[in-house]
Amino acid sequence: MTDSTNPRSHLTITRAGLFTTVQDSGRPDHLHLGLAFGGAMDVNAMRLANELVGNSAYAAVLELTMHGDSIELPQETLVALTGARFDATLSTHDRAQLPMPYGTPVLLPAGSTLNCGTVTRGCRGCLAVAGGIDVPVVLGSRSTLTRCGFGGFAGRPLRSGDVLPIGLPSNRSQRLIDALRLRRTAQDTVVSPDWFATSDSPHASSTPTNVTTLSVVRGPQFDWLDDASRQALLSSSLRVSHQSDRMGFRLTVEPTLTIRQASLPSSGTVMGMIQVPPDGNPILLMADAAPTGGYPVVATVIRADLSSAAQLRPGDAIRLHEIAMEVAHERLREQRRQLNRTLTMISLRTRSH
Amino acid sequence: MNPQPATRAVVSLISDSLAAVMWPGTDATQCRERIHGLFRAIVASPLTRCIHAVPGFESLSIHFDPLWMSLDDVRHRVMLLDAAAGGTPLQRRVVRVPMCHDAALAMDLADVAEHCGLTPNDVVERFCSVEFIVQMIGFSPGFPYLAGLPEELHVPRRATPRTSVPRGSIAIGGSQAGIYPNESPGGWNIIGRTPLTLFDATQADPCLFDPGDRVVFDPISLAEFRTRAQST
Repeated sequence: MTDSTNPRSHLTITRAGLFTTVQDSGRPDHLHLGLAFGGAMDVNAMRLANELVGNSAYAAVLELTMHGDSIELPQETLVALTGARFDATLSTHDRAQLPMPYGTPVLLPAGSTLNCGTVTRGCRGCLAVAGGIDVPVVLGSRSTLTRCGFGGFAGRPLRSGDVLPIGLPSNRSQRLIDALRLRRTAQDTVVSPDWFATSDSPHASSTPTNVTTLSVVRGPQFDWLDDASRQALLSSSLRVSHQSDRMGFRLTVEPTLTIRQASLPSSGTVMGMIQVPPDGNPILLMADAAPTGGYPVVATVIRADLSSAAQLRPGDAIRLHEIAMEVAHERLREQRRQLNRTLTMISLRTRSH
Repeated sequence: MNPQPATRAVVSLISDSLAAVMWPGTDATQCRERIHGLFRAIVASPLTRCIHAVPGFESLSIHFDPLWMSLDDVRHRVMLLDAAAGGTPLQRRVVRVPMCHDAALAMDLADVAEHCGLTPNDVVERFCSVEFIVQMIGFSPGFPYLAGLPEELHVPRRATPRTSVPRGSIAIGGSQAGIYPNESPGGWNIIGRTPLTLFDATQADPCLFDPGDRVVFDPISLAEFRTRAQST
């Protein structure tokens, strides 16, 4: 709602992407009521994007999938793009098709259009704006649960014509905006610092064969698989099928897995769990998966590899690498340290302006 | 006098951030009592700020951050709470659910009656005389899995699931009963419908039920169903 005395910042989706939703850090307090945890699929990308524009860690962002949106910004706006690489461009009043810098805060002048473009690497991008996407909070979060039709922007992916309110920038955001404004010239109306941060996990595969290795710990029903299936699960290449979305990725494996029992009494699930349904093609649970389930669990992708998993797209090949629980915890510790180092670096740089 | 719980909880790791609490050697009723007792104890303790507990059918799942708490930390605190809670009979509040079994709303009642060798009215009468317990809530937000269905009313899931079960439908699947909070696909046998709202995301307390509640169904007429459905 805007009026001439107190206009609210907003952005307009002029052309919607393939599947863009408002996400934040999710809903941890309602799992026992059947509500998915949800939130950004690539949590590291979200943390970085928010830090880059001076937001709190919990500010809502836009999660882009494969093909991003064209977004019009009527007012000057500080943004940052992280996660998957998109061939994103910018248009301003006087310039068209400028490349959009990645992994750094970008101050866009009033009237800019950001064309997020298509992924060149990975699957899901994260766009943060200073002030956060200011949609209503539902059950403690601004995350969208499309399966249930609530949260985020009207409980659904964004469509062309949608207008999203932007919150008030924090003091830190405002200081960064002020500093970047000073660097603006008549020729360079789009300003960003000369540094960038990347959320690429050192373990993310960038091999030409495009096989991503995900470390897993053994699941409680691993022994329900026959010998050939255990072998197939941990040594062969599995493929992410097109039946994949925020609830989970259907994986295909040759031959399909044979499991001795179809189901067991339902219990809690977690993102990264690999279940085997009766047809033998495993399911990798993702952010919007139901918090309970009764399919056998043969393995779980370690927390430290969930951002890599979030960047998988249909057609990608993956290999599961079993590790011990202690190693999983050490990998998480190291990833957290690295993330904190990056966040600190960003914080120092954005404050020193 | 609180007798010491007969069985100690066993806490094991499922993944690098998920543990499960089980009580080997307990029967279904005892296990349920322990799950709900521990769940409540966790929710009422400061521990609820560090972990998230999710009741299942035969276990209580515990989500935790392994960089904040080790499994040993989780195990130690959970077992203390379990020992304190176990042995004290749980106070369960009763939620009364109006149920209309008019043929238009109870699409599978005739089939269920035939399967059980009873009249439809008998099925409804027996169903409404049971005090169910909400075992867990899952499948979809607010969907209660109800324990306590008498064996004579056990009916297997439908061979072909429905692509759309109407919101509020009360159904039987195998040895369990449940209520669909929102329209969704479903394979259970529908024997009635409630006008109540089971899940409302706009409320801070969005769900009509909590795990561990008792549920009793009260038969209502189609007219009363229509009146109440309009006001919810």
